[in-house]
Amino acid sequence: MTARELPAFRVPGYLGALRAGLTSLAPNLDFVPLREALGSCALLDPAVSGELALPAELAECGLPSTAWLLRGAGALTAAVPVSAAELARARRLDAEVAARMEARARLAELKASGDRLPSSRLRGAVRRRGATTDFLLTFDRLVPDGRWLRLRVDLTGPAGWETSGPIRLNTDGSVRLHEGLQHLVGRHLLTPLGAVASQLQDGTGAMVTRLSRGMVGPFWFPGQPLPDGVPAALAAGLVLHASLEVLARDLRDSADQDPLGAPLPPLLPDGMGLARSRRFAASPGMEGPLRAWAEEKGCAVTVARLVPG
Amino acid sequence: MAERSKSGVAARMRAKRRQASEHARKVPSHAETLAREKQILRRHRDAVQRIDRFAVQQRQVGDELDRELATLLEQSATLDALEERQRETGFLAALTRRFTARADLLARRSVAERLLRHFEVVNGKLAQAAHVVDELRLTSLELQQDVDGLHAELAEATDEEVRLAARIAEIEDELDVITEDPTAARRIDQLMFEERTAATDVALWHARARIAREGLEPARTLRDDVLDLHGEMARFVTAARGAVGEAGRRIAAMGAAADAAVVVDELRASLDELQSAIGATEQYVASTRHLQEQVLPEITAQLEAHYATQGQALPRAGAADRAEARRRADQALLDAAEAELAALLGEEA
Repeated sequence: MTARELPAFRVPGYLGALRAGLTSLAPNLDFVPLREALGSCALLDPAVSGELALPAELAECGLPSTAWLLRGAGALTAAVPVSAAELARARRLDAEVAARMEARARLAELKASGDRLPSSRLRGAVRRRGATTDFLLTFDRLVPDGRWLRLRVDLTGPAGWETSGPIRLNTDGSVRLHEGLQHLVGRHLLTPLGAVASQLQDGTGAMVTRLSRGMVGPFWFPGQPLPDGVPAALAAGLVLHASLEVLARDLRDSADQDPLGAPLPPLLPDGMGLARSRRFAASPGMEGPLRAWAEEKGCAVTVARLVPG
Repeated sequence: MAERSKSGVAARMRAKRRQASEHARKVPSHAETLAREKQILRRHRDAVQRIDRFAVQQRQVGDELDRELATLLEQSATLDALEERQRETGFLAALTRRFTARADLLARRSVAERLLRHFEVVNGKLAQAAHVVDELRLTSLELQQDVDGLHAELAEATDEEVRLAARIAEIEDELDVITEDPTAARRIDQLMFEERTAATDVALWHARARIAREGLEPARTLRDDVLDLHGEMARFVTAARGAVGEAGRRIAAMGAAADAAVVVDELRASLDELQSAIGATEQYVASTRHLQEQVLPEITAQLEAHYATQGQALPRAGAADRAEARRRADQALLDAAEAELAALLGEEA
């Protein structure tokens, strides 16, 4: 897995295409928040962060590498407001330093909104309190190959388990998570969902009713290497993927509509079904080849029109 | 005829005086010279305080970086344990592993998660360090401007001293010629007044030159120290960014598999790269500590001691007699000659 450097002059065009792809995909709650994804694109943009986040590097899947994203995040974290007097002083003394100070000032403004993809984050929320206590866990993570993952876990347990287990309900309605939970899900980024559900049930003592893994990426564009077996024609334009895998108790039949997915596992947890789907945001001219490829794989896919801004 | 000749001489003299007064720069008053001295001191104090703040900030950033990088390196121990555990292939070990894995499900920590978290913090700290590097660059440029300004002031003051000394010599020559002439009383008065004024101005310009000359050394020292600090910091940030960036790429790429023994060796290699960053950080922390604890207090003490005596050494604004005027003119010419010689020999001003 190697990162490739993107020449600086291509960065604005690349980020513009990625932003357009994300907006066209309009990912729902099973995916990392669109607001945060766009926020990360914004902070990597040289028009905002100048040279502070450079060099621009792409991960294997064609999305920004973790190193590039974290460099941008680091610059954002360190950014402090810069006064007009400080900027004027820098402009008077050194144009290059002044350009970096201006970038820091812009980042400090962006920092206020706080929207950017986390490298790893687990959050919990209570969904129901009654005969059972239900929690929703949301784990967002940058995946090693560069894709953006969200694992959503619906857990249900008998009333009272929220006072003794690794997921605690505070009196103000907020949720306190055992630190080990994040490490537990962090160890299973790509593990089959059935095994993840089993681990989570063992770790929490509750029942998993729904588990989804939504991935944004890969991002294909001219020059981007494609996985084996994918027609080269699919790199002739822009194609951003959003794949979703859902394991749930209310899914009676399993279904695989993902042309890039591995074969469905032969065994699933009792009473649970597995569904896989993949949506695309594709530039004009790419819809036909995409549908043809998916059809050849026996999959029905959704393709949204991506128009680079 | 004699009348015409007299009026012609008077016109030439008026023209000469006008020319001289146009050529002369505004003589700094006693108050202005004192104010300038205080201004230089204030600017140096501000610069020292600014550098002190940077040094404190840099030391904090350095300490935190050191801690974070060390924590990243500590993962090596975890990796060793993992590797050791994977190597145990006996039946009992396999049974125990399955049992403990289940029991310790929440107690186990993901190496990848930890690495990623620390890597993120390290990136933030490096960005902070880069910010301070830029601040140091600006401060060094500002101090260089100060040094340059002091040079310009010194040159201006010396020029004026020489010009006025030359004028005093001219006046003396003229006075020597007309001093016994009973019809030249008015001219003698004019010349004596001009000479005494010039002698006072020489003293004021001399004071201004001395302040500039003596202000140069601390300003230059401070500039050089900031320049050194900037150089060290810039090298450190570049080296650390390189090492951390390379390690981060590997950490990120292997995140998913970081808990598997198969990648342990490769992951450890990336952690070894951080060792060089740690070395640089330690050196950097030591140098900022040295700056903060020794260099800055020394410079501050020197500045304070130097300027504490300066205000008292300014010339008293008073009229000088002819002997004193000649002495000041001679001294100004002597100083100018010495300064010129020092410049020719490449010695410090």
